[in-house]
Amino acid sequence: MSLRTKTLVIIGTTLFSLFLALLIFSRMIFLDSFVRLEEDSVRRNIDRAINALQDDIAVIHTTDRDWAHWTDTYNFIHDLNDNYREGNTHDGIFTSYQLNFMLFVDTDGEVAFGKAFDLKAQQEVPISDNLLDQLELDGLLLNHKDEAGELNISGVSGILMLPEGPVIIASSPILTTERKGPARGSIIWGRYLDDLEVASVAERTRLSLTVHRLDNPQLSDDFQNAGQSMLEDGMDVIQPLDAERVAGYTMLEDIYGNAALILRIDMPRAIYAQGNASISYFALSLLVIGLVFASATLVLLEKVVLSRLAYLDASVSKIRKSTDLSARINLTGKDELSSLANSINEMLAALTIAHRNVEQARDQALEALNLKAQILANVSHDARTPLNVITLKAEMLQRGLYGPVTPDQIKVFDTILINANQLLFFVNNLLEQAQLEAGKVKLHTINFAPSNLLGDIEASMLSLAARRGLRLETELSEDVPPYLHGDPDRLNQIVSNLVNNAIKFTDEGCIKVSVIRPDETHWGLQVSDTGPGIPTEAKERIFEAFWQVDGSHSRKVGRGAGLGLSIVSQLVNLMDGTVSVESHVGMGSTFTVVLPLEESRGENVHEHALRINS
Amino acid sequence: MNTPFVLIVEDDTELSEIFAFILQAADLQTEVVRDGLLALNRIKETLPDLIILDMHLPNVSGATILTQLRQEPQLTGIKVVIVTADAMIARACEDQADMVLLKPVSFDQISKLPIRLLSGSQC
Repeated sequence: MSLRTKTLVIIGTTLFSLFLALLIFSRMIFLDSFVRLEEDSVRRNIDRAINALQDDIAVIHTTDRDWAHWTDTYNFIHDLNDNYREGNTHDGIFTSYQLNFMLFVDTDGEVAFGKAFDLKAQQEVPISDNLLDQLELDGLLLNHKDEAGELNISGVSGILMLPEGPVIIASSPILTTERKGPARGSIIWGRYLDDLEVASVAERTRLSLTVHRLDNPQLSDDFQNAGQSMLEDGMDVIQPLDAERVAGYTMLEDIYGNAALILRIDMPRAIYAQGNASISYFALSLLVIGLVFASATLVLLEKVVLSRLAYLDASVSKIRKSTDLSARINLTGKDELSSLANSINEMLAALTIAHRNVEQARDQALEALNLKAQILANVSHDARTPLNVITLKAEMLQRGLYGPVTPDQIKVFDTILINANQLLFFVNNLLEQAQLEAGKVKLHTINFAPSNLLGDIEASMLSLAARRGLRLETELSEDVPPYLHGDPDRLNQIVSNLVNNAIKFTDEGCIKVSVIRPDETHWGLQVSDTGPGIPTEAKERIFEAFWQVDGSHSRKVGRGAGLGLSIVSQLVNLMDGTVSVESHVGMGSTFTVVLPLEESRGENVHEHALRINS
Repeated sequence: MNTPFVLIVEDDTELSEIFAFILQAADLQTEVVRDGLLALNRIKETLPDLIILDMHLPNVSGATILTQLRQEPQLTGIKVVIVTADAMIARACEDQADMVLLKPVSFDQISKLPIRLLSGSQC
């Protein structure tokens, strides 16, 4: 993930988390306040509705009491005169006081005069039997005495539940205008708490009102739940009806103090909606401000940091790809980034100098190695011709071309030839080592026959072995392919060195050269001898240049500079192969070279090695 | 039947004389030339059956002589054996030569040359 993407993700995530946290907390805090405000508002409206209803009750009660404390009424209950009846109980009185009934009850609890009126139909109706059933001398409506037996002249008022519906009712004791007794009964006024009454209260309070009996078996769920809750804890219930409206419920008791009616007001959730809108505006403005700040931060970061970092990265990558140490990074400014660019530039400069020094040192070393190789090449070349004269003259003498020779003289010539050949081997190896060091040895791979390789070794090494009194045997394993791809000259050199080494260290017995196939993907060369063997501690070092087994035997043999096995090891490495030795002191040694198998089909086979030295 | 003629091009006096001695012992006619330029002239004059050619020669190198030999039609039939101490030059020229011998050479290698190279053509 690029730094730009990471920055974008970090800023985006932080902003989003902050936005979410603020939104959640603001909803929790503000919306809660709005809900409480809404509840307060509902509660106030419940109070207003109750007050309006109580006002109605109070009006009826006050008027009822005025009529009860009036000498005319006091006389009327006694004589039931027509004058009073016609003047005060006609239909107009019911209409103007909005009454449904008016009862004049005497002290025996008998209705002396009563009239019921249907306000909707504007006509007199029979008095409800259910109402009459409520009139008991000891009942609340007729007995105006308090617990101490004193007359309560103000009477009672409230709601009375009748089977046909609730009634607003007031009852006062009938006294003279001077409120003197004894009381001649009660005057009871009432008005049904019906749709008309509810609508009237609703109109005055400008509230949406509903009133239901608590014992109504068909109450809707919300009324039932609210009623249940209020019966349990006596508290008004406020709860949303839906997202748009909220309702408040209160319980109305009848004149006996029993829970009788549930009054519900419902109103739009204006406060709550306002709260929601405010939070939405708040969230929106928060989002806009956040986006603006995030964009500004990103733009600034991009300009001040990210683009410069990207430039730095691209510049370093470019330099790395071009490997041009002379390139420099051009980053303006005075901060850590420009300082880093300067440091990289300084590092590049230092690297350039170091690189130049290394190149110079390498060139000098290579030059020295080349010079050494050249000198050794010249030495080698110049040594070979005189050596050849020595060997040829010795052979000619040995063959009797210059006169008869004795058997002792033949042995002397053998010694001369053996030593001349060893000297030649040494010179060759010295040259080879120098060329390996100078990196001048290159493999020249061609198709060749392993059988030819063995033949070449036999041809070149047989006489040397014979002169040392040793047998030289060769063996070609059957599973080795007839033709391989490789460098036969260098392979010859490897085997020659191993055989020469074996001849040098073996006093009697046999040297065996084998071409083997250790596994499906490799082939190998094996040279074993019946020599003194190599001590375990020496095995690891015998492939190092100029190292020899430090034992009595090597001193006795005393030939060579310890180059042969080192050259073998280096040549085998060049061919991606391995060389190993299996040896026990007194049991002889076996050197095994394992090489990757590159089988060839025998086309263009060079008999190269055969032609050299054959 | 002519006796095969071998031109020995070798700047080392002793070695060239030894080569001549061995080949004469094998009943061949020999001539020794120790200079590259001279060798070219003698090759054209004598048209030898076999040339024993050293690589490091005064004036004209063995490699140049070999290249010229292989370019001129009347000389291409001449058998050439490179006898040199320089293995790298030997390898570079091996395709043009009939045989390459690396110094030091043995008595047998020289004495058997006519049998190996001349038996099919001349004898």
